Amino acid sequence: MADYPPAFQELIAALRQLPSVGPRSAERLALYLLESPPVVSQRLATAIADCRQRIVPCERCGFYAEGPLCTICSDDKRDRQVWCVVEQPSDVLKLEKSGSFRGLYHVLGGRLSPLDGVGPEQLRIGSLQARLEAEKPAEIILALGADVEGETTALYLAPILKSSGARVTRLATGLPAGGGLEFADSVTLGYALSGRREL
Amino acid sequence: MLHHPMSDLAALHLRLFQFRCHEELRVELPVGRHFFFGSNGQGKTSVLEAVYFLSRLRSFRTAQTRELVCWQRDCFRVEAKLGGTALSATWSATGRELVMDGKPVASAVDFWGQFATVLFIGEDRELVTGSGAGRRNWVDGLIAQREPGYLATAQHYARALKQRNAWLRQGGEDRRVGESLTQLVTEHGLAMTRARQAITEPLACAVSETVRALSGERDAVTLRYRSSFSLEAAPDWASVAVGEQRFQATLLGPHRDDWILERHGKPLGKFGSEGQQRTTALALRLAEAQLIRERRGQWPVFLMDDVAPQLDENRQAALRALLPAEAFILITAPEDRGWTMAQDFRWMVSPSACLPQ
Repeated sequence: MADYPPAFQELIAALRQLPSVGPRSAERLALYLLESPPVVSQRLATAIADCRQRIVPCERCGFYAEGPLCTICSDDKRDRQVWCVVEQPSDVLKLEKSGSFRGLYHVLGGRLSPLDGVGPEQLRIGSLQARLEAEKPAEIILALGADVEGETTALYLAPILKSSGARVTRLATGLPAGGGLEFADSVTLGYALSGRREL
Repeated sequence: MLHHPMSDLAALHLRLFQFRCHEELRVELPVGRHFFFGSNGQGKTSVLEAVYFLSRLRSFRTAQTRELVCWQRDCFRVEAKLGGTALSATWSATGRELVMDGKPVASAVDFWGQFATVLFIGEDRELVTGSGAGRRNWVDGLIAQREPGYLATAQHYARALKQRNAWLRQGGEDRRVGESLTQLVTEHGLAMTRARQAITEPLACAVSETVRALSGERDAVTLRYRSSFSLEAAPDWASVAVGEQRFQATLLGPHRDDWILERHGKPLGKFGSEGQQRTTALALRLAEAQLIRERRGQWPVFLMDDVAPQLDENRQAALRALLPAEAFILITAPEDRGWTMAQDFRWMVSPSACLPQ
């Protein structure tokens, strides 16, 4: 039975490695790249290569940077007294899009999970401690997930961070803004109740 | 939770699509006792299994959900309408889709137990004779059908426990990681212990009363909760540290709880006769139904898979008297063994058909 030429099959196999791309999507994308003008695939290839070459973790916070420091760490207008500790670089962008946070970040690069072999050494905790000693922020917000791994990481970090003299807080868990009670699941509602505020 | 005025409870509508041997089966069941007859392999138990799936999102016959799909099909769906609420669960190899009243439900935690059921199967005797795991699952299922938040607590606990055991297996070297996990296991574990403690007293009363009613006032059965955590003092993790290192497993917590069933002070699992054990198992299920009804104001759907033949005639009669008239009770049996009464509904089940007799 005839099949695609080996080079084409390799392209499909490479695309299939990407998250959320199944065999049919990979084939469709490969066909599109092959049939569209060469400039389309050249642009994609250059963008990927450039990214891999230029993007490095920020020396200070671990977010994506094109130089030693990311745009946030090199921005003088940011509040250096408040830090937000997150799991992944993508979490930084989520918080930035909210527009509510003007402080600095620290990206851990994951969360503690003995089941997956992730211990403190695999995370950027050492560099966080070094930063704490050098920069001495007033408050650190732990913006980690509310699942078991996120909570374990928060519980692990809290005493370390507190020993630096900083105020340590966690993100509140509760109802989505603009949503009625009927859209909240029972667990979220439980968290929202226990974290209720005085009016 | 579903709360319906009785007037809405006129019928339970069921639809099974590509489920086990039923390509498509629709049936409307009025409130009352329904007997499903049919030879082996005709799909009687599958009807119960489908209702159970809608309630608990798993089968009681297999751990492999794909086995529920009709031969040479790739998905199945179960739908039920009861009172003003419609529930539907669709399963395929690529995912599961849950819908309540036309709205998709993203989290299984919010779907699980909406449709309350109590299952009676021949293997229920193991609740009395088997390991503590069966009793823990049974009590947890009961609590979760009364308090929806309990399921998430139990899931969090199970995950924290898994992580802590993984840490112990890796030699438990980073002490601070262990402390964080211990704190989480303690926190979620105490929440579970409180809920289990709270259910035990009403449960024990209901079980004793039901055993007496089933056995004609002869048997005195007690149920006692033996919890690993104490609610009075913090767990003494130091006392198990050496053992945990040796066994590389967490030795304290609700995963080690049990309920002790005794008859006249002797463990029923070891010293009870088979008949006494069966009667007690039946009482556990009936007590479960009663406690669900107390909280939700409505009986759960009874799913009874061929349980009557294992009881003697007196106990069969007592059971018949104990089954509430205002509940949906689905009973399977190969044939009518004289257990039915005039007001009961009789159905003959075959693949894709459920016909009144």
